[in-house]
Amino acid sequence: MLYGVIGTCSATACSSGVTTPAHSPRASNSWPLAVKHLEVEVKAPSSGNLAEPLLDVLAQQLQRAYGVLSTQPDPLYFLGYQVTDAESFELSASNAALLYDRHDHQRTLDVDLRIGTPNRDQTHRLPGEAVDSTFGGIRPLPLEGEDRALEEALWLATDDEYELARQQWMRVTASEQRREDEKPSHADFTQSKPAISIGPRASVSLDRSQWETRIKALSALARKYPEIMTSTVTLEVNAETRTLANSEGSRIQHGRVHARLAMIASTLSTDGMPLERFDNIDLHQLDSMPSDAELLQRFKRVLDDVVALRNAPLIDPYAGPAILDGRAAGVFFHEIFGHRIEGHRQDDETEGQTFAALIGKQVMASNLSIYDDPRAWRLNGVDLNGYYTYDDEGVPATRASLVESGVLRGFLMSRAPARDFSASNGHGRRQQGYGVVARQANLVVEPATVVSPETLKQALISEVERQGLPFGLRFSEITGGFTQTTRGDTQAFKVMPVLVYRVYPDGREELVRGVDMEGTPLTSLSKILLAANDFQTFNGVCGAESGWVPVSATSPSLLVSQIEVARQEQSELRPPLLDPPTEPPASPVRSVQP
Amino acid sequence: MKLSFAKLGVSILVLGVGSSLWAAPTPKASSSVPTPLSDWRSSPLIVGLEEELSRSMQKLTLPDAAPPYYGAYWLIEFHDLDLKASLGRIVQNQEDHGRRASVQLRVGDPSLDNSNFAGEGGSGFLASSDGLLMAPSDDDLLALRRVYWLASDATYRDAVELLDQKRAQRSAQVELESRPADFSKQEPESLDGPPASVLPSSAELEALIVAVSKVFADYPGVEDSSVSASARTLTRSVVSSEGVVSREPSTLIEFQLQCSAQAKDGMPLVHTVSSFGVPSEAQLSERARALASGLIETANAELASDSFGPVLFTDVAAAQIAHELLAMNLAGTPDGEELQGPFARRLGKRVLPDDFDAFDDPGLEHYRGLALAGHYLMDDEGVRAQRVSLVEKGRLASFLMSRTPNRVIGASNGHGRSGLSGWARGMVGNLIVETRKGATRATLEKRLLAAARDQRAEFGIVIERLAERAFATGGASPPVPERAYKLYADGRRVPIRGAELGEINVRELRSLLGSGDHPNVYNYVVTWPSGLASPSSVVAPDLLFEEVELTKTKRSYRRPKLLPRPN
Repeated sequence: MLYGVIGTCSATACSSGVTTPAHSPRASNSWPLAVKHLEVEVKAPSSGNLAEPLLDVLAQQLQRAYGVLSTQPDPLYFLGYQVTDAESFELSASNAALLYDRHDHQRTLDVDLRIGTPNRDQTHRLPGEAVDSTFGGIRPLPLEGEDRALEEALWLATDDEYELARQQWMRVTASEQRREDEKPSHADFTQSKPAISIGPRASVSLDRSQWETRIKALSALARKYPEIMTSTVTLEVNAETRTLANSEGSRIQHGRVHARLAMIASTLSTDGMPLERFDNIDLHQLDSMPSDAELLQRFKRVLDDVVALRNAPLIDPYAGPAILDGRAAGVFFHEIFGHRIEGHRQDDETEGQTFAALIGKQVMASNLSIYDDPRAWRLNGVDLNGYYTYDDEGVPATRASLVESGVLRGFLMSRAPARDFSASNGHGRRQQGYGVVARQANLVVEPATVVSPETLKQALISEVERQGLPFGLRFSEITGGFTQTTRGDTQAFKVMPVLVYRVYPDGREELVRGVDMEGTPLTSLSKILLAANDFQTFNGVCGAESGWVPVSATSPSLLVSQIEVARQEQSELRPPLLDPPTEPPASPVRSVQP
Repeated sequence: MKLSFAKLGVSILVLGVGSSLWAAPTPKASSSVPTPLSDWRSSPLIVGLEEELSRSMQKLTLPDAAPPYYGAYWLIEFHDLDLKASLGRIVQNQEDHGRRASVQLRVGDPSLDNSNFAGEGGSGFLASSDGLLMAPSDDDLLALRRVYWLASDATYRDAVELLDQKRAQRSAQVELESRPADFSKQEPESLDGPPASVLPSSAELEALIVAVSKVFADYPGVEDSSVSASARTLTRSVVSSEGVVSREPSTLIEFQLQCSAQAKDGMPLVHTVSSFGVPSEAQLSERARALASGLIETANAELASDSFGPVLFTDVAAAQIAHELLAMNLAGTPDGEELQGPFARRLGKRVLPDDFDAFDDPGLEHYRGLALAGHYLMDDEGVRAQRVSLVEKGRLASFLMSRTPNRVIGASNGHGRSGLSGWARGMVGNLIVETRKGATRATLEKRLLAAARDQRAEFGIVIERLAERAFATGGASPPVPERAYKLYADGRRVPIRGAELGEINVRELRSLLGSGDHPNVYNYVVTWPSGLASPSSVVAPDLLFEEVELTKTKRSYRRPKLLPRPN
C-alpha cells in the first residue's frame, strides 16, 4: 500500500534544492536509446443518461432543501449529495486453512454544502489553519428503496450539515470583521459546468466456494517454508457505485468494480528485524485473474524473497548512485512529488509550500514529464487503480499535466482554488465521510528518451566507477512511508525500501536488508540521470486528509546519481523460541474413551 | 445458514445444522446430542491444542526465566448477525463467523506472577492488543497450532518482562504486611455446557425489524428512528495446564429500539430500549409504540429545575440505579494490591437496610418470571460459576471474585470476567437484590409524597428509566433520567426533561425510605476490547431514596431544525 503522506518541504530547502544535474559520467544522451513503449488506454464513461430513481429522489430533496436554506439569513449557495453504495466480499486463507470470509454492503451519504458566496464561504481557511477535511462520520442510508426512509435520512443529514456549516460561517465572518483590510487572495470555490452522465450501478458476483478452494490451495504453499512466520492470501472484490446530484444541476452516477488478490508473507530475521513482502494483483474485473499456476509462481516469489531477505546481510550506510526499479520509482514519485503538488497545499500556511512559487521553472531533469490521468484505464496491459471519469465534486476527470520537460506546469486541483490556479482538473477525491481535497489518481512519469534496462545497469556501473565506489544499489521494491511536512520539522522524506540489491561493477547483484532511505526529497528529483523503457505500475490505496482513495503510480526504472541510505534501527523483537509445530500424524493420537 | 465450524467432523459438536435441532432446552436426552465431553476431549482438535500447550509449558524458556507455571488456550467460535432497519428499510445487514484464539500464560509462581500489574508490556511479533487473534475457521490442526505457537511466544516474552518489572518495583517498596497471592488455587473442573439455541435466520430477523421499524412512521414528532437486532452464538472452549478441558456454547439475541426528537427549544432527545431474547412482532411493536409516545411526551415536557429531595426509582430505573451503586462496588478484585471502592473495608458491615439481601447467581436463567441475560456456566478463567451470597440482612457478606485473591477472600467464586481481554475481574453475572418488606407502588408513592412534604417540596420525583450508558463511564458522565415525572399530592404526574442525576453516595442505600414488592430487571451487555460481550443482569425492587440531587442539564444544544420534514 502506498501510505499517504502529507506535505511539502520548507521554502528554504526548495530554493537551493531544485536544479538540473550538474554533472554526469557520460552525458545521458550518449547512451544508446531504446524505443519507448507506453500505451495508455483512456476509457470514457460507460453510459450517458439512464433512468435512476435514486437520482430522482436526491434531486427532489436537494431542490426542496435548497429552496429553504438558500433563503435563510446565512444562505447556502451550493448543495450537493453523494451516495456511495459499496458491496464487498473478502476471503482470506493462511497455511491451507480459511481464515475469514466476509460480505459487507453499505450505502452512505455525503452532504456538501456551502454558505456565503463562492468568493468567501464557510470553508475559508483563516490564517494559520490547515485544510479542514477531517472525518465527518459515516451517514448510513437504507440499502435499497427510494422512499420515506431515504427522504428522511437526507432531511436529517442536510439540516445537521447546515447547522455545522453555519457555525463555521459565523467563525469566518467574525474573523473577517476583525481583519477588514485584508483582501482575499483567491476565492474559496470555483464554478463548474453542470454535468449529466448516468451510468449503470456496479454489481459483482463471486463463486465463494470455488474461490475458497483456490486461495486455500495457494496459501498451502507457505507450509513448505518453516522460516516464514505468518502468511495470508486474501481475495477482495468490491462493487462501488457513486451517485451525485448538486444544486448546479449535475446528475452523475458511475459504478466501478475492483478485485484484488493480496499475497503477504513475513518473518523475523535472527536478529529480530521484521521482514515482509507482498504481491497485490489489482484488476477491474475478477475474470482477468491470472491462472492458478501463475498465482502460485507469484506467491512462491513472495515466500522466496522473504527467506532470501532473512538470510541477506545487513546494509552499511551508503551514499552513491542507484537504480529505482519502475514500481519503486512510482512509489517514490507518489510520495515525494505527487503529494506536494496537491493544489490545496500551495497556500496552506502550515505547509512548506514547496512548489507554490515554482510554476514555469525547471524542477527536475528536462528528460522527464509527469502527468496524472484518472481516465487512464489500463497502461501497457495493466489495470490502473486510480481510474474514474468524474471526481467526487462532479467535475469531469482530466489529464493534469504537472511537469513538462522538467518544468513545473500545474497542480492537482479540486474545486478549491489555489494561488494562480482556479479551475478544477477533476482531482477532488474522498473516502466516504471525509471532505474532498485534491488527490492523485494515476500518476505517470514519462521520460522523453529511454534506454534499455541493460543499458541502465551499465550506466549505473559506469557511475559507480566514476564515483570510485565498490558498488551501487538497486531498489526493487519500496513501500510508502510518511513525511514530516509541516514547517519546522525536518524535511527528510521517508519511503521504506523492501527489496534492495547491491550491484557490483562485474554486474553481480546481492540482496541486502535493513535499508532506510535518507536525504531531502527535492534534491533527489534533480539527480535523475537516465530512464529505461520498462514502465511498471504500482497499484495501491493512498491515505491522506480526505481518507483512503485507490491510486496507481507508473514509472520506468530510473538511474539516480546519488541516494543516501542508513541502516534501520535495531528491533527488540526476536524470532520464536520454539520451532513451528509440525504436520500432525495422519490418525488421531488418542483413541476415543467411552 | 451453515456455520463454518459445522465442518469440523464427527468428533466435534455440530451447531446450527437443522433449525430445530437445539430448540428444545434439554437436548442431551435425545439421540442427536452433541459429542459427549469424553469424545470431544479426545478429538484431534483438543488433543492438538493440548499438545501445543504442553510444548509451551515445558519448553518456553528464556535465560534467567523458567517456563510458565500456568497456561490456558482458549478457542472462540462465533456466528454473528447484525441488522438495523429504519422506517421499513434495512440500513445495515452484517454477518460474521469465524474463530479466535487467546493465550494466557503466567510465569513466576502463584504468590507472585506477571498478572495484575500495569507495567509496560513488550510487543511480540504476533502480540495482540485486544486479547484475541484470528484463528483458522477450518479444522486444520497445523494452521491452528501455528497461531497458538506464535501467540504463546509473544505472550511468554511479555509475561517474563512484566514479572521482571513487577519484581523490580516490589523490591523498591517496604513490605508493611503480607500481600495476597496473585493467583488462587482452584480445583480443576471440566465443564460441558448444553448446546446453544439456534439463531433465527437473517431473513427472519430482517422481516421482524423491518416491520417494527415502520411503527415510528406513525409518530410525526419522532425524527430519527431505528430497530436493531444483534444475534450471536458463541462457543468458548478452553484447555489449561491444570487439566481443565471445557466448553460452553451460548446464544445472545438483543433488540434495540431507538428514536430521537427535538424539543421546541431545540433540546435533542434520544430514547433507547434494549430487550433480550426473540419477542413476537406484536410485542416488539408495542414496545416501539411505548418508546415513541414516551419520547413525544418527554419532548413536550417542562424543563427540569434543580432540586434536592426524595426520588422514587421504579421499573428498569430501580435496577439501573442498583447497578450504578452496587454492581461495580461488589467486585472483589484488588486494583494492584488493594481492594478499592466504598465497600473495600465493609465486609460484615451494613450496606443496605436490614430487610435486604443480595446474591449473584449466574446459574439462573429466570427470576420470578423475568428473563435474565447474565446466565453462564463457566467464567472467563474457566471456573464454574457459583451462587454468591453478597448481602445478608443488610450486611456485606462477600465479594464477586475472580482467581485474583484479595486480603479477605482467597478463591474465585466463578465471577472472573474479561472477555479474554487482559486479566479477569470479579463482575456481576445475575445480581439479585431482594427485600423482605416490599411495599406496593401506591404505598411507595404515598411515602414519597410524605417525604417531599417533610422537606417542604410540592412534589416528589419518580424516575422510570435512565439513559443507557456505555460501560465503565461510571463517574465520567452523570446518569441521565430518560423518563421522569413530578408526582404532586393531588395525584398529578408532570413529565420533566433535561434533568441529570447528581452523585448518589452508596451510604444513601443504608437509609432507603422504602422498597417495592416486585422485581425489576436491567439486562445489559459489557463489550470488551476483544469484541466479546459479557451479558449481565441486575434485579432490584423499586427503591425510594431520601435525598437525591437533580440538576437541569447545562449542556448547550442547537436551535430547532430549519428544514421541515419531507412530506
